[in-house]
Amino acid sequence: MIGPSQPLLRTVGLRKSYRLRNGGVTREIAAVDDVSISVTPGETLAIVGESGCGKSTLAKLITQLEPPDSGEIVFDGLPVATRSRRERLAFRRDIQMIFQDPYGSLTPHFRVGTLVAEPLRIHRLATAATLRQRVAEILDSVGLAPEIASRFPHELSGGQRQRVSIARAIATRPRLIVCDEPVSALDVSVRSQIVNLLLDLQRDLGLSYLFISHDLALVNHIGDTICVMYLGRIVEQAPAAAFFAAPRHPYSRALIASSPFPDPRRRNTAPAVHGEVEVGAVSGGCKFRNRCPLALPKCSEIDPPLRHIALDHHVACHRAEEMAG
Amino acid sequence: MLTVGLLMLTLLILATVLIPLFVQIDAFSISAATKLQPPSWSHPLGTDELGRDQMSRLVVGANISLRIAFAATALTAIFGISLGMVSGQYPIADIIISQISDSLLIFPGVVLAIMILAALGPSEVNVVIAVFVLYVPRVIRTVRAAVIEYRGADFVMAARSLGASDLRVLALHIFPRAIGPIMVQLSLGFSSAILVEAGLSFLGLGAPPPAPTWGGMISGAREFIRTAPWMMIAPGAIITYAVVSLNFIGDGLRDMLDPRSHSVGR
Amino acid sequence: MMQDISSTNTVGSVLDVRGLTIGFRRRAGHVRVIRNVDLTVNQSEIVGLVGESGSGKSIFARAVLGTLPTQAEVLEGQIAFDGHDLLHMPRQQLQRLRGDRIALVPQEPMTSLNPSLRIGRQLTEVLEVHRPEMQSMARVERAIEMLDLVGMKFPRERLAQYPHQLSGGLRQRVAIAMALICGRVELLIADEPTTALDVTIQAQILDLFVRLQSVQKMSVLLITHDLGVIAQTVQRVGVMYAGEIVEMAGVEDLFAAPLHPYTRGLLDSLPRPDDAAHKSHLPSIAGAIPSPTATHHGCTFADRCSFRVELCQRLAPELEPAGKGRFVRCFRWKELAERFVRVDVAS
Repeated sequence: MIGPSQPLLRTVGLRKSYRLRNGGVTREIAAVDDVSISVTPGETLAIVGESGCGKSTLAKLITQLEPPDSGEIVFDGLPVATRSRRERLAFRRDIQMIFQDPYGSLTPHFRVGTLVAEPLRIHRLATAATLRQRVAEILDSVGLAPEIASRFPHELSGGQRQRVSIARAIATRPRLIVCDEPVSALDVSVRSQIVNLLLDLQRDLGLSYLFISHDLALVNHIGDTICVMYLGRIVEQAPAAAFFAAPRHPYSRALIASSPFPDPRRRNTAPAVHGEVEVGAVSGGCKFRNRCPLALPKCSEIDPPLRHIALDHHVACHRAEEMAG
Repeated sequence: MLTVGLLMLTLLILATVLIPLFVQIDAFSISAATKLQPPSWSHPLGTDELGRDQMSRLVVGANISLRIAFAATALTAIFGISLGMVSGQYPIADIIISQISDSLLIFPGVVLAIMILAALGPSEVNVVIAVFVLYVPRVIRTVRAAVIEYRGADFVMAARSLGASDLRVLALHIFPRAIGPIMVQLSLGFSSAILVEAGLSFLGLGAPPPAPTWGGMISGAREFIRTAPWMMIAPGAIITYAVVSLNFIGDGLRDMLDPRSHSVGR
Repeated sequence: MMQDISSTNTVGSVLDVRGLTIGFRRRAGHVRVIRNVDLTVNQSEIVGLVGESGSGKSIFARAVLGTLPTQAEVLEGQIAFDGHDLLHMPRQQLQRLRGDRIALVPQEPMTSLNPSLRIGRQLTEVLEVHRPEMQSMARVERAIEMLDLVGMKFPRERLAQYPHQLSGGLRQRVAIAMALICGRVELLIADEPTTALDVTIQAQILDLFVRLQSVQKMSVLLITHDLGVIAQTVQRVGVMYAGEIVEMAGVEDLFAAPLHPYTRGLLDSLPRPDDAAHKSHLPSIAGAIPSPTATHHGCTFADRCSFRVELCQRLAPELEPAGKGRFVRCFRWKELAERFVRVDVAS
C-alpha cells in the first residue's frame, strides 16, 4: 500500500506500435512512444491531444485491454505485469473506464440493472440477496431512480446512459477511473450535469481520474495536472494553473489559441498552426517541427527530450526556455 | 413471411405426429392385391408397386427426414457455435479451425455427401454425419465473423475492463448479438438437410430399404411415372412443401434482422 | 417560371424563411420537428444557427436545400431565396440552383465525397453540370484554382487522389472547394462543418470560411451545437430548441446579455477559464431535451426552466421583438434581463 503522496499510478516509458498498411506499404506507427506519467490519489490528470496523439491507446494500455510493447505500469506500488492472475483480477477492481459513446459502451441487450450488477457479480462483491439493494444504491449515487434498473439502454437519453456507465464503473469502488472523452458525445446542456457528477464522485469516493479530452476549457476547469500528447509523445506536462498561465510548448500554445473561445470580443486573428497531423510521416527529430512556427534546423536532427523546466513542469522542446511568460 | 413458414412447418410436424394417432399407419405390409392403386378412401395417396400405402410411407418418411434434419442441425449448432466462438477469439485456434472449415467448403455439397456415405456406408446416422460435415463450416464462419465484428466494440471492451472472462464476454455479450444470423443459417441449414437427405436417399445412399424415405420413394416411382403418377407427386410435393416452409422461416428471420427494413422515424 | 414573392420579403435578403413548420409523417398524424421558424439571412452576412440534438437545425438546412427525407413534409410556411419561392419550385429549377447558387458543406466529408472517384473528377463534375459551356481544360484549371483557394498545398497533385487518402481536414477543404467551384454561390450552408475535426484543424477551417465569405461576398448559414464556434465566426445568431427559434440576436449581444433562459443556461454551463472556480460545480440545466413526439402545452422549455411560472406551462410564448434586432420567445424576458447582469467573460 502506498503512502498518501506517492503516485497511485505510474507509467514508465510505455511504448506501443501498430502496423499500418497503406496501399502496399506497411509502416510501423508508434501510437504511444516513451510515455511516463503519474497520477496521485484523488487528483485528475488530464490528457489532451488531437487525433493520432495516442491518448486512446494509452487508455487501453493502462486499463490492460492491450499489452504494451515495452515499458512498465506500476499501480499501487506494484508493477502490473508481474502480478498473478488473481492479482490481475483485483487490478480490474481498482481501475475502471468510462467511454466516449454512451450508447455503444453499454451492452444493448442487458438491462441497466444487469449492467451495473455485472462487476459486482464478477468480483463477488454482493450476494444474490444483497445484489438488488446494492444496485439501487449505486444508481442512486449517480442520480438515477431505482426504476431505471429495469430499462434497456436504448430507452434512455444520452445523459442517462452515461450515468449508467459511471454507475457501472464505480460499482467496485475503484481507485482510478480512466475517462475517455466522457462528455464529448453528449448534448451541451447535459454535459455540465455529468461533469458535476464526476466531480462529486471524486470528492465522495476519493477517486483519481485520468481524464482524456480535447476540450481545453473543460480540462482547465477540472484538471489538476495537464499532459499534452502529440503523435505518441508527451510534449508538455504541468499543473493546470501553470499550464494555462504560461504554456511552454509551441503545440500547447497552438491548442490553446485554436480553441474556440465563447466570447465574440476575443476572436482569434489567425489560425495558430498550419498543416495537418502527420501520422507516421515524420522521422527523426521533433515530430512537430513541420508545423512549428519556431522550428530550428536543430529540431529536424535531435528529438527534444521531456525536460524538467520548472516546478513539476516538463516540456519537450529545444526552445522551451524562450517561452517563459 | 416468417409466420407463414412457421405455420407451414408446424402443420407438417403436427401431421406427422397426429395422423398415426387417428389412422392406421402401415408403411411396410406388402400386398399384391392392392398394388398400384390410385388415391381412394382406404389409401388417400394411393399405393405403390408393392401394394404399400403411400400416405403411411410419407408419414414415416417425414419422421425420418425430420429426425435426420433435426439431429444434423442440432449437432451443427452445438459444434458450429462453439468452434466459431473459439475461432473468432483465439488467433491460433482460428488458423487450425478455419483451414479445416474452409477446405470442407471447397467441395460441392452433394459430392462431399456422397463421398462420406460411400466411405461410411448407407444408414440414417451416417446421413446425419454427412449433413453435419456439410453445414458446420458455414455456421462456424457466421459465428466467427460475428465474434470478430464485436471484439472491438466499446461494450465488449467495457465488459473486459470490468474483469469479465473471455467465456463470459463470448457467451453473454457477443453471442446474443449473433443469434440472428445464426438462426438464419440454421433454418436454411435445416431445409438443406432435408434436401440433402432426399438426394442421398434418391441415390440409394440414405437409410436402407425398407425405410420409406422421401427420396427413396421418388427414386422408386420413376419406373411407374406413366402408369402411377401419384407415386412421385406425393413425395415430390411434400419435399417442396418442407423446403419452402423452412426457406420462408429463414428469409423471414433475415428480413426481421435487416435494420433497413425497419421504419425508422428520425 | 419561378414564383416571385419578393414583395413580401425583406429587401436584399438572400434567404427569407417565414413560419416554417415541418412534420414527419407517422401513423397517428404528424410529428412536428420544426415549428413556426422565421429566419432571414442578408447579403454578405454570416448567420449562425445553434442548437442541440432535436433542435431541428439539420432538418432546417435540408428544407432550404430541398433535400428533406421522404417522410418529412412542409406543413406550413415559405422559404424564399433571392425572392424566389423554393418550396414550390419545380425540381429541375431547384437542382440548377443547388450547387450553383446555394451550396452545402456537410458534417461528414466522407459522405459528401464519392469514395470511388478521384478528387479532380468530383470537382470537375460539378462544373460539368452547372457550367456546361466550360471546356474540359478550363474545368481542370478551375478545380486547381479552387483547391489553392481553400489552402491545399500541391493542388495539381491532389486532383489524382482519392478521398480516403486525405485527412479529415483536407477532405473538408475539398468539400468547401466543391461547394464554391461554380463561383456564383450566394448562400453557403455549413452543417456542423468542423464537428468531426481536431481543434487546430477546426480553427483553420473556420478561418477559411470567414476569409472566403469576405472575399466572395457570399452569405453563410453556419449550423452548429458549439457555442465557441458561433462566437468566433458569425455575426448574428439564432438559438433553436426543440424545433423552435427561442432567441435571435447579434452575436455580441447574445453572449454579453442572453435573454432566453435556455441561452443563459447554455452559456453559464460552459467551463470558464477562471481559477477561483476550479473544480467547482458548473451551473447546469436540469432535465433532458424533450422528444418531439411528446405533446406539450405551453413553453417547450418550461420543464427545465428555473424561471418558470404557472403561465409558462399553460401558454406557449411567441417570438417577441426585444430591441436592436433581437427576438426572444419568453414571457419573462424583460424582468429577467433587469434582474441578472451576466458576469463579463473578458474581465
